[in-house]
Amino acid sequence: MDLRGRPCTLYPISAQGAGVMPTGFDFTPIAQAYMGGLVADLSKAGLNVLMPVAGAPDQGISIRGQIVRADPGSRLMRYLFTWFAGAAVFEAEGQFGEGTVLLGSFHAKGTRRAGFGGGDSQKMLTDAARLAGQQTASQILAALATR
Amino acid sequence: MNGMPPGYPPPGPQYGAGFYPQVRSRLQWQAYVRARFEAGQSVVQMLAEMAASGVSRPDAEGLVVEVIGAMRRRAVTIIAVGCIAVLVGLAVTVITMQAATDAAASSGSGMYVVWWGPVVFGAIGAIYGLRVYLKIPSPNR
Repeated sequence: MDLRGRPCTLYPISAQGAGVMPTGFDFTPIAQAYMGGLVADLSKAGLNVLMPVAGAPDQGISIRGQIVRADPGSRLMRYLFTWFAGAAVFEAEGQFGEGTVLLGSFHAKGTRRAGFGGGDSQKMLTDAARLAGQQTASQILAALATR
Repeated sequence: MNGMPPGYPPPGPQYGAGFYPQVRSRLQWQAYVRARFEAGQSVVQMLAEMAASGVSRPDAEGLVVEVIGAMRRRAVTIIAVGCIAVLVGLAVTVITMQAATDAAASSGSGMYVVWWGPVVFGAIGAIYGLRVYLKIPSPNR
């Protein structure tokens, strides 16, 4: 399937019902990192990624996702047990389709386990979110490529 | 009278902080249940919370069993890796000490390695894993 120039309506990631959400620091850059990773990779593949317009029908492929968990982990645990505990994890799931036809679903998980001195939790979670965004894009593109 | 105007149904369950009915996907519930168990919530409290959110009893029980199984597997993996690290550290230390003793007996000097890193960090890891395992609630309580 040739994706070059095809419109794609991407909804902002929803935090509704998320199992774990970070407390104590700003979540906006984390959500932006996820969306940024996703948009960059979809755009690289040639899709014309658009924001949804209120009241207007979605254009082309529409993608909706929600956060499963955004866990900043623990810096101390990462420092002590780098590969076993304290990892920063960003997990998202969602569906994509065209019009009323469901084309597929995705489940992406970005994990960061190691950083200097355990690593700053917000930065680790932001990186994990970006990885999850890239993983989401690759799953969507792989599914679209088979159609 | 229960304080409600006539014709109203009796009041539903009262929700305190962090106990609101939630519409969640299965994956979101798994993540939530795991986080709550790690925070020390009991299975009974979790099942009550899921029931209040409209999750059927069989679904809730299945999910709890699934999450507890995953938590146990993770804890056992941490314990196993920690124990292996301790054993490898001790084996290297003992083997090189034995070789050094033999060398000292034949040539007058020998060198050995005290590989304390895997022993100490492996032991800490195993203790951590054991602590994680002991905190996991039983599905029957």
